[in-house]
Amino acid sequence: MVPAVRRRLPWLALIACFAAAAALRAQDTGTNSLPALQDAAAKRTAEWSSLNTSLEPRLVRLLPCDPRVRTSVEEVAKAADSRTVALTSYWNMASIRSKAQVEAIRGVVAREEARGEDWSKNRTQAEQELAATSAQSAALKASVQQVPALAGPQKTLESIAATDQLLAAQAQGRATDGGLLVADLRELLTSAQTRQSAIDEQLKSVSAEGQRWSAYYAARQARAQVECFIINPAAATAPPAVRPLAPAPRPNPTGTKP
Amino acid sequence: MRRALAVLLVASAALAQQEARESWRKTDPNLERDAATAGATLGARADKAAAEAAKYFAAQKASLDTLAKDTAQKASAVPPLNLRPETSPNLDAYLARQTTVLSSSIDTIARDPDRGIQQLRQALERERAAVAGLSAGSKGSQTAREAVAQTAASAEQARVRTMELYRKLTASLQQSAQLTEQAGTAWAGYYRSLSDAARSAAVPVTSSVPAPSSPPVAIPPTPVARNIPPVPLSRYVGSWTYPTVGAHFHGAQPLSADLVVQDENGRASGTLSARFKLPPGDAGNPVVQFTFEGALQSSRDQTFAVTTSGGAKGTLELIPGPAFNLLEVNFSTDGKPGTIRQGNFLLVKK
Repeated sequence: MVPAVRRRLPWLALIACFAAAAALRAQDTGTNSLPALQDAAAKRTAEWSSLNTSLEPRLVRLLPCDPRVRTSVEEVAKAADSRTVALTSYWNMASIRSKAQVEAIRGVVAREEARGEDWSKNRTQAEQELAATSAQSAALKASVQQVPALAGPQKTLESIAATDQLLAAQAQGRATDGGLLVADLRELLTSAQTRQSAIDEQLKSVSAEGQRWSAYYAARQARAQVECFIINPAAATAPPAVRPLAPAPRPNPTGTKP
Repeated sequence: MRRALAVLLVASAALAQQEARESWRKTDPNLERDAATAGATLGARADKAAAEAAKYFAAQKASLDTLAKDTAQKASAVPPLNLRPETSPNLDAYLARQTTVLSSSIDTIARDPDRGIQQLRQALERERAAVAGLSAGSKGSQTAREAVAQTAASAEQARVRTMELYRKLTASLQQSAQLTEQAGTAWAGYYRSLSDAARSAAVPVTSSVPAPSSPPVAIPPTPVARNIPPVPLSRYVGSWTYPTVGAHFHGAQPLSADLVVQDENGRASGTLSARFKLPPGDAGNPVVQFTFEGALQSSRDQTFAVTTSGGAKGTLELIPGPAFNLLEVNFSTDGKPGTIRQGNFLLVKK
């Protein structure tokens, strides 16, 4: 059973990948959302951890050929596989979402780089507006002495120039922030790519850890079979799983040659 | 596709405002310089410049609004990843204990020549090797988990910083759009007052002190005496409607408005029918309908008494707009609560 689970592991991981990809297309809600997958992984981990910790104390109380020895090891191995699948699903989904975010950032960086010039243009235009309004105000001021009624419009122009000043200051602020934004976005892109690499490494680590636990349970099961074989060869059914051993004949009585 | 459309919208709005700006600035660059000398022609020139300015400020506001919307959208284009740290049990103690137990068992049976026991020793060694693999791998797994936690935290910090900058830019663009709208209104007022000032300078309406250099015969009859507005009657009379594009209003926002003004022997009369947008949850009456009637005055702004369909009384002001085909309406009534009692908006001639 354990070797069968080990052979099944890559398939289970593949299924987890497809499930994660399909879930991405759906909304990030329900059982396929990252939090739900994380909860599922935590639950599977807790289940496995509990079984794993209590395995040896349970086996100690059983006779070597008690069928419960085999089923107990199988049960923990199965729980470990379930945990690996749950973790793989979670990290697959995290990887897919992270990649999508990297792509989104890349797109925004490209657009902001192209827009950098626009912020400068806006600032130049706002400054030109201020200069033009100030010039109009100065030109009208010269006429106020000849036509006092123009004093009102001239004051209005001065107030508009004050508004233009504010607009120019805002445009200046945006030009500065626009430059910072591109730098920040590039940094964000680098950070997100680094995180992506770390997630991919974590995915590999989860798979490797799953295989190591699977190998351990196979070895534990093989030991249980050898122990049973020593006590009662007729009751030992299958050969040890990790490395097939030649059927071990019962040792000859001491002092005789084989 | 959506991204390309957004880029196109921003570019098209920016181009429209640039063209409108150039057009406005080229309309009459010497208007202010000629203000004292242009006389009666200044009013028409100011009206023309006002119309171009209105186009520019509408385009500029639209451009800033589009940019603000686009910036806000980009801020939401990078949502948080919300990775939670993985909680894995610490198995170091467990693995160490297993190793000790297995090593002890191996040592105990190491010298036993029994073939079965030797097979058991081999099995125990394989198990111990698997445990050793788990111990070694657990350090690598821990490192991988920590790397994810660290890089995810760094990426999230960078994301939050960037989003904050986007929010700042969006707020700045929104403020500029608001200021631009105010500037547009101020420019309209400026051109109107410039036009009024030029007209009053060119044709004094009343004066208690006779101009010493003007011969009595040269004084034209005052418009007041004839009760003729200083602008053509066509600036008031006719059918007017609330524009669907480039609308301007202050206070309650009209959804539609129709005004008809007739003139007969120096008296104006007409009807106004308008529907306003009410705030969400307001169950008031959004419709305003009234008739008005009164003598035309010699001033630019015409004021009439109104009676609404509900019997409320009030006043209506008709103010020629910055262009010949624009008319500003300003009304207030003493209607009941739950009715629209004030309105101020610009109509366009049908």
